[in-house]
Amino acid sequence: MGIYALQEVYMKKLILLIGLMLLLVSCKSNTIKIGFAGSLSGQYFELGMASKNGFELAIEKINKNGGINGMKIIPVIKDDESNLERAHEIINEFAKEEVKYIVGLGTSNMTPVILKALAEYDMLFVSPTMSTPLLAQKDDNFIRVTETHLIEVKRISQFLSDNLEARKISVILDLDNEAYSKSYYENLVKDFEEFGGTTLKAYELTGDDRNYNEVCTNILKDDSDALVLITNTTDASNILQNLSKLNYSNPIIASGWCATNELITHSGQTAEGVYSIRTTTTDPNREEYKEFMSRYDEKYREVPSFASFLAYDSVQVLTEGLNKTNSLDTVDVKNSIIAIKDFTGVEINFLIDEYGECDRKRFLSQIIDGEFIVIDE
Amino acid sequence: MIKMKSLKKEFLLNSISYILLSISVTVIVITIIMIGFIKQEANTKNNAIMDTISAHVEMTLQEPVNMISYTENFFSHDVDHDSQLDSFLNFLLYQKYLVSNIYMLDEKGKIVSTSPPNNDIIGNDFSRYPFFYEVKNSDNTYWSNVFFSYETKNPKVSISKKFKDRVIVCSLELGEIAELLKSIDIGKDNYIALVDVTGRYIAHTDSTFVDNRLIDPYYNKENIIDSNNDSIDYFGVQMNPNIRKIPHSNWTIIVYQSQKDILNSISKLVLSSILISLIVSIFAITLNRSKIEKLFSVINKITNGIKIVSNGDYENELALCPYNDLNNIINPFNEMTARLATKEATIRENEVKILEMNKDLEQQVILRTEELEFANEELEKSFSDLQSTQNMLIQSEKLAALGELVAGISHEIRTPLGALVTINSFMEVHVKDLDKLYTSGKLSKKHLRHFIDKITDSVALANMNINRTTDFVDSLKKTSINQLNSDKYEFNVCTVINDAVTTMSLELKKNNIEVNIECEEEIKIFASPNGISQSIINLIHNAIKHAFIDMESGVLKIIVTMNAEELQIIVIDNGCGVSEENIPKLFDTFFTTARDHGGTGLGLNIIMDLLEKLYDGTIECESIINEWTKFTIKIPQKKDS
Repeated sequence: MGIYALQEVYMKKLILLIGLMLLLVSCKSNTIKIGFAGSLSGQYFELGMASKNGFELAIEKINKNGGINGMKIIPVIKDDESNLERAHEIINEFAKEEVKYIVGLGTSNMTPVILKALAEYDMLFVSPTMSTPLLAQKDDNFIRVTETHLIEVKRISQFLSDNLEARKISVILDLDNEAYSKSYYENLVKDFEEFGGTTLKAYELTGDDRNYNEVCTNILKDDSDALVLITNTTDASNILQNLSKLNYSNPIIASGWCATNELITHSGQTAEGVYSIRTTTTDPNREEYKEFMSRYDEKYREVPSFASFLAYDSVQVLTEGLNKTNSLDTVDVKNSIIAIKDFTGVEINFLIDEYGECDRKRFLSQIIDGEFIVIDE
Repeated sequence: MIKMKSLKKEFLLNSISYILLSISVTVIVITIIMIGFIKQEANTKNNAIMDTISAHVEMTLQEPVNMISYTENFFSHDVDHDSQLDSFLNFLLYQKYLVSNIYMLDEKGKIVSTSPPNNDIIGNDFSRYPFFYEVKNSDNTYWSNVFFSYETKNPKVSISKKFKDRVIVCSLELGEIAELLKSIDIGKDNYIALVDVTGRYIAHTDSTFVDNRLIDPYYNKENIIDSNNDSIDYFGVQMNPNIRKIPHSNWTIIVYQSQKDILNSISKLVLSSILISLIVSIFAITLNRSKIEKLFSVINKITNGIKIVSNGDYENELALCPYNDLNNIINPFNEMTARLATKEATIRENEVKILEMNKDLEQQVILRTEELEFANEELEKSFSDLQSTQNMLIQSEKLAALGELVAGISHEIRTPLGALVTINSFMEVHVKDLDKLYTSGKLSKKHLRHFIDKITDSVALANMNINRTTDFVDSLKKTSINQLNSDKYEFNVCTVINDAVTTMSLELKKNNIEVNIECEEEIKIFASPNGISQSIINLIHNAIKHAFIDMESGVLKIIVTMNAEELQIIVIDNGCGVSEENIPKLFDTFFTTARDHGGTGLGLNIIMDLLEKLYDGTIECESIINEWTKFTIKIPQKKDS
């Protein structure tokens, strides 16, 4: 074969290859992957499952309305199994699968995972429920639709002091979620002190062997005016059950993490009277809320928890950012989200500031007759 | 034009087509039947699977049902239930491997006893669990929604029932059901699912459906899957659902049969069918082809035999073959060949005769041709003579006309001349008488008056005759000038016609024919007047000779009209007319009805010829027998003249 013939053959192959690549590219550009990283098993599975449900519901709606700039969303759901190591693995998997936009992670103990991911990969995280201050006030690719617990802690401290007239408090914290609970506890001690209070003791729960009875017995011995629970729902309900058996009658404040409907279910009557500063809606007739509740019930046959609402809002924030910019660059999307600033959430409207931090109103609630009732806006 | 085809090819193609068609139809029919069979088989298999699962689930759920029954029994006896509660619960739990926990709750929902024993939770408040509040005021057995152990991820369900002031709650492990589902070989793309009353997967061939706590998309609020859907989109795959409800628990088994799976089975079947049919087709076609080859070898022999015969060898007889149908062709062909041989011999004999006859014919043709050539020469000669004769006749007609004209002129002039001679003689006598009287001296005034009167009368008469002659000569001169002169110039048509009529006045008078001319004064044309003049003269002549031949008198009318297109001169007589069959021939050369009276049949022909040559004009004739005959001369007026 002569040189010109060879050239012709190679040229044809090259053109074919370019054509195939273009085709692939054009095919690809019709979809966009959005990942979900949460605890679908393990001790935090209830939070994770609730978040996943909210995530799926949001994706379904957006795809039904045409996707993002005409691109259909492909959800990529991964379970971190409430385990740090597994969480690192799923981030790597996301990177391999070219998933740049991730709703998650769910619990503050996953902070190191986030930090590593931000350092190593070009990813944008929108977390529904991570409230650790360790990620706050940073110009990074991390956005959340829930506040850091600093404001919650301050309000609790104020409530304890002003409303409950508590001067001494006991605290139970779950050290398996240290990033959340330790920071929560430290700020609580500080803030409560500012209000003239004293934190007598912190009871730490860790590992699988949790002796709730012992902890509760000791709390009774404390001469405290109130108890603050910085734990997950399972721990909180076990504590409440035990305290009830011991006839504990001091006010109990549950952190936002365990102030869920599951707490009420698992705790029964023992949850009556428990306070919490939590995210909720004060307008059940709000269109977004009604629609969400209807769709959630139809799809999941259960009552959504706060994590469901927040995960839904996370997807909304991300997709609004993507819609606003024609770029798929994570920084451009983040900036786009920051530029939008005002978001219409399912339960309530909220703001995202220049650091990706959320300003969302929380409400002082109390469990009355098996329901969280807002007692102070 | 008929398109030529090869019979062998057609046979082969047709046989192949029919074989393939019949096999294809058979394959299609079998495929259709088999598709139904495959679907039915799939349904049967699915039903068997559902039976298996249902039985297993029933068996699994039978445990708590039995427990409920034992508990009923327990509470029906009048014993100290509280003290025996623990042992009773252990009894219930004994070897009941699927029930992982049993709780006994009091009327407030607090745990009073557990199995396995767990003192940590004694006194725990379970009042907000549905398994308590759903049964606390009811006698029904409550089956909870499936929930999951967060340690094992296994699905669990609670069954509870109220007995007097107690509620017994059993937690049933469902992991084994999940294992069962996974162990069933349903096929690669098919699924088995077990859903609870809310539609959430309790167990699924793909465990991620359970891990992700998914709800079956087709399980609506009324807990009914629309089983009328033959095909649904199940997470992006087309599936046929098969549904079975499990009575006690109201759980539902769904077997999702992938259409792809069925299609694969069908396509395998179809491919096998096609393959088999191809093999059979090839075999059949090969057999058929060999048969056709045999047949056509026989046909080729016949064909070759026919070719030999067609080349003239009539002695060659075609051999008979094993096929009656072909022998029905061969036999008549052989007979035909024999007849052909006989006929050929006859033909050869006749050929010789024909050759000889041809020679004679040729000779005769040559002779005849010579005769014809001679005759043709004669004819040509005669034609030439006829033409000369025609010319002579025309000339003699002209001479005859001239003779008549001269005769007419002579008469016309002689009459006034004769009158003049008479007048002159009279005047000579009177002058002699006057002279005698003068000489004798006897001349009186009276004699002179008488003489003057007589001379005056005579002079007047002489003048009249002289004028008459002069007028006649003038007319004649004009006519002859006109006839002699073919130059074109503008002339008054009426004047020319009048002059021509005048020229024929003697003849007209002799035959008592009156001529009326209707002509507008100012009709002028630019042409040679000769033709018009001659035509009028000839028409008058014609009328005298033919129209008025047996009449004592007649009237001839000449009407002249002119428009932008043509000059029209109508000459109409009230004579005997021309018969209809003669009108077309009137203008033919030598046609006449008065040959006995000296007619040459050229007069009208000459007019027609003249008009055509001088004016591009025409002449037509119309007539009614015994009434009138009308000749219409049309002379077109050229636009540039």
